[in-house]
Amino acid sequence: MTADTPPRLTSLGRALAALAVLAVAIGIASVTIVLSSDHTSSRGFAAALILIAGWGFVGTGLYAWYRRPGNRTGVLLTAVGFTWFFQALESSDNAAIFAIGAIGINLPFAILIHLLVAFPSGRLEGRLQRTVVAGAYFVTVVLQWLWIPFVNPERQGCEGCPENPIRIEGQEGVADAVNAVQTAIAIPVVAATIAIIYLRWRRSPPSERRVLTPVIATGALAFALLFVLLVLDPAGASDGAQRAVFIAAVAAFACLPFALLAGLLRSRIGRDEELRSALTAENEQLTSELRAKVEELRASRARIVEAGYAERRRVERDLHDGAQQRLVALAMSLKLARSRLEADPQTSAELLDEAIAELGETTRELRELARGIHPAVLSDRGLEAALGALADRSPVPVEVVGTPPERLPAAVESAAYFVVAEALTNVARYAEAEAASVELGREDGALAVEVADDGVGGADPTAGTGLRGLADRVAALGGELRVESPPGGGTKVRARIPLDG
Amino acid sequence: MRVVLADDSTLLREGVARLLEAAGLEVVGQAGDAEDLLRKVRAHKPDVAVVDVRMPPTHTDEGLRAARQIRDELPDVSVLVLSQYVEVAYARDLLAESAEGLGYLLKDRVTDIDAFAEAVRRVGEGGTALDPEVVSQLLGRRRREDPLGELTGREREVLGLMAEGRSNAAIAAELVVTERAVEKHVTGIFAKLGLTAGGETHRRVLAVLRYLDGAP
Repeated sequence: MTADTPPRLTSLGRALAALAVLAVAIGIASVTIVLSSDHTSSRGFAAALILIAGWGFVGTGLYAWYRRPGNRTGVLLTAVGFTWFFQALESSDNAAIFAIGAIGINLPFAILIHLLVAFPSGRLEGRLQRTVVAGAYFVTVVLQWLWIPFVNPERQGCEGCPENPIRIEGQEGVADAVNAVQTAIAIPVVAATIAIIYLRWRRSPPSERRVLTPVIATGALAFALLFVLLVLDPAGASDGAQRAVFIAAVAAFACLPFALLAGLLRSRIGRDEELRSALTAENEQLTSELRAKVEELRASRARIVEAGYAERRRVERDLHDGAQQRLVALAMSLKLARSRLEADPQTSAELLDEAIAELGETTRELRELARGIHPAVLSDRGLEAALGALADRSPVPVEVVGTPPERLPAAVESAAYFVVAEALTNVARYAEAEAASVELGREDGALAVEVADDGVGGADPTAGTGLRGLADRVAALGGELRVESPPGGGTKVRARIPLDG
Repeated sequence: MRVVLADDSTLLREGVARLLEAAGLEVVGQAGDAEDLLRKVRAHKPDVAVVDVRMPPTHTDEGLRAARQIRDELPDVSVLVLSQYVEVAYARDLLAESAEGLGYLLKDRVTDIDAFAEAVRRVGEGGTALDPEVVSQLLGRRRREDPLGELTGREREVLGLMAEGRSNAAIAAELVVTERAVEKHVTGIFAKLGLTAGGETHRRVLAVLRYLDGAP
């Protein structure tokens, strides 16, 4: 399926592979930090949780990113995974690293809120969603930065934590105040997140609901635990209880990436949108191609119709100026002869002779006209005889070779005949050629016709109506006509006419 | 001389019949299509059948096919084919085996009453009448190395009349020269073109036509 294959496969693939390598390195470093920590209780369990959740988010995030490059969910998942490792930094015995960990430790929760609120399309819609996500980032980034300089880890209940290197002494009250604001904002943000995902689940049709349920359940559980954690502290719960809820919440978060990935890949919403945009682009291209073809067709059809009218006008003019005038003159000659029959038999006989000669001319003219409209020899005898007759009439010596002996579809024979007729007429008129050749052959289900001369060349196929009309006639049968006429290099008219029409 | 006429145009058929009767020929039957023609030819066994190329039902070359059939079936009946237009290809077909008792003329020629009656008579007697238009197409064909270029103007005229099927006497009358002079020209032409002089007129026609048609 085209929608599953990103267009920038190689560059995107390389970038994502680099991120994966980075995540592996960071994960190993994180485990090292946690396992060597002085102040972290149950280090093995903490390291395992950090690694499973961190790699889980990064891995599923990169996979989702690769499969759905247009959907932001993959990017957000990856970001959650990388920021997850900030937790490990808090286990560091180095004061600076510990501080960095303290700054970033809450960031993955904000990104998770962003991710869940925007799931599964990856886009935030409406004011409520934007406000909730903005609140989450405000608490975990802005307020976190504000809080850091005033916090005393020891006073937070951390035994053996390193000193806060940027701590402003004696301002614990400010830290407490900021912490209170954080909690005050975080509680409604988390509550709103749970509400949003619950409502999304409620409003989904049953088919979507089946897909969303694991995500919603895991997400709701994780955030419910987070919510409990947030209200436990102001409620004055014991550290042990808070610790237990925190571990449960982290475990729930660790499961989340896999639930999200499953949901994202099974979700038809994201897929449909990408498919739709891919189809729309393809459709637009096809439409414009089709429009160009229709325009070309309309133009050539108009030219064919116009050529038909022009041909009829020519026939009408030839009949009117030729045969009809001659017949009128003939009637006059005959009447004159009749009136002088007795008085002047000599003049009368001369007039009759004139009339007879006039009649001969008229018949000859009519015959030529009929041949121009349709050569009877072509329908009676086929191309070989008709082309032979054309060659016989040409004032330039013409050699005809390769005419298929069998009869071809009438339209093909007719088109080939008129291509040769027009080309030979041009040879006689303009080419100043010593000789010309007509070569026919079958190739790939088509009749190939080539008329070549050794004359002066320089013919412009767009200048006259003759070749243009022939090109349209050939194109109407699905074929093509080309003219090669370099100055001084003779002229080649080539037509390819499909035999199956 | 007895004639059967075939043409789907009654007007033209009646006209031709009148011309031929006026010229002293006897029109024993008239037909409007090829089938009718074959029936009447078989019944009357005329000296010559004058046949229009285009007839019902397809109005293409029924006349030509009927002409071939008559020549196969009744070799004693000569055939003169009339056509609105003449093509070398048709002449080649008709003359494939023999030029004896065969004519192929443009329909317009009927207006030249004497010449037409003469042609009918000539064909009826086993001779040949090939339209000057066909002959001029053959003679006018441009060739890269034209052997006809060696002929004198008078020789070309004689060659043309020979190709039409005229006898030496007729050529002499046409060109207003003696028959002896015509014979001299004929010998000269045959020598220049490398042909062996034919005996009877219709054999000579075939030799000349084959030469002209096949010359490179």
